[in-house]
Amino acid sequence: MSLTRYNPRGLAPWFDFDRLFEDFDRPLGVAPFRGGAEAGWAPAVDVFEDDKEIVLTADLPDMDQKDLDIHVEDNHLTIKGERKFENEEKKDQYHRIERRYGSFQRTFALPDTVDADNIGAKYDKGVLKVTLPKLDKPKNARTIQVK
Amino acid sequence: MRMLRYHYPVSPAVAERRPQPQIDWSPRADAQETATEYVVRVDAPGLAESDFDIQLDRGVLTVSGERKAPEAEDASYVLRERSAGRFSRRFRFAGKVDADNVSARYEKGVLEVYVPKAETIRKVPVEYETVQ
Repeated sequence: MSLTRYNPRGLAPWFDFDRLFEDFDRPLGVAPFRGGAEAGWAPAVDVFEDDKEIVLTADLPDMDQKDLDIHVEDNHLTIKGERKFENEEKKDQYHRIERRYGSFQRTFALPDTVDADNIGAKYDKGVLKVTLPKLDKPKNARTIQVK
Repeated sequence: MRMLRYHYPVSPAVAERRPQPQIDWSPRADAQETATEYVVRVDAPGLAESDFDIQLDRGVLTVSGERKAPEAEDASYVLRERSAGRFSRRFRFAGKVDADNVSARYEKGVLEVYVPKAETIRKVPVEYETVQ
């Protein structure tokens, strides 16, 4: 069950205004990558690209290794997982819950030049960093001679 | 003229004040109250413990800091969603708190601040004289 925001009784209506503003820091992505967010929430992601590699950095605080799933399939990189709420039984002690929990998934279309066999991922201090090295030539490149 | 303690009706236990000027983003935070303390957890990945400035002043907890933007030039970024720059959050506690014993922990990108409640009732020990 995904966590919904805890709304203590007796709150004035303006309280919801705050939530509107909080959502303004949601990601605004502009990219040739097709990034899709399905299910629940989506972590904010930076993608950097140069000649040698593509580096994808995602904000994913408080994740356990076992709850993270990163895989490449058919030239698409998928990052998915679930962030569990640490105190399920004590939810009524919470005056405010803003942090996002539950399942997340993001998928990115990768260019042909990515060397899918050598993708590396590192998780440190709540940041997931996926490094995708690029090959010199696209995988299926073929030079065609003109006769 | 009496100064109103709150300008607007808020959850009486933990209320957030308006953000300070010149902040670039507001990390999301959860606020919990137990029998003995308040716990505030802030999502702020990619920082070091020393990057946080935590203040408790007259019952208001302020958590601030700065997350540096990634280093490459803007031109090399095909997607920029992660917030960067100065951040600050404030929390006010309804009950009295023990400002001398606030502690914090930063793990997996989450800053946890523990604010113990002050004892409001102090039992005064009474020495009884024995009357023979």
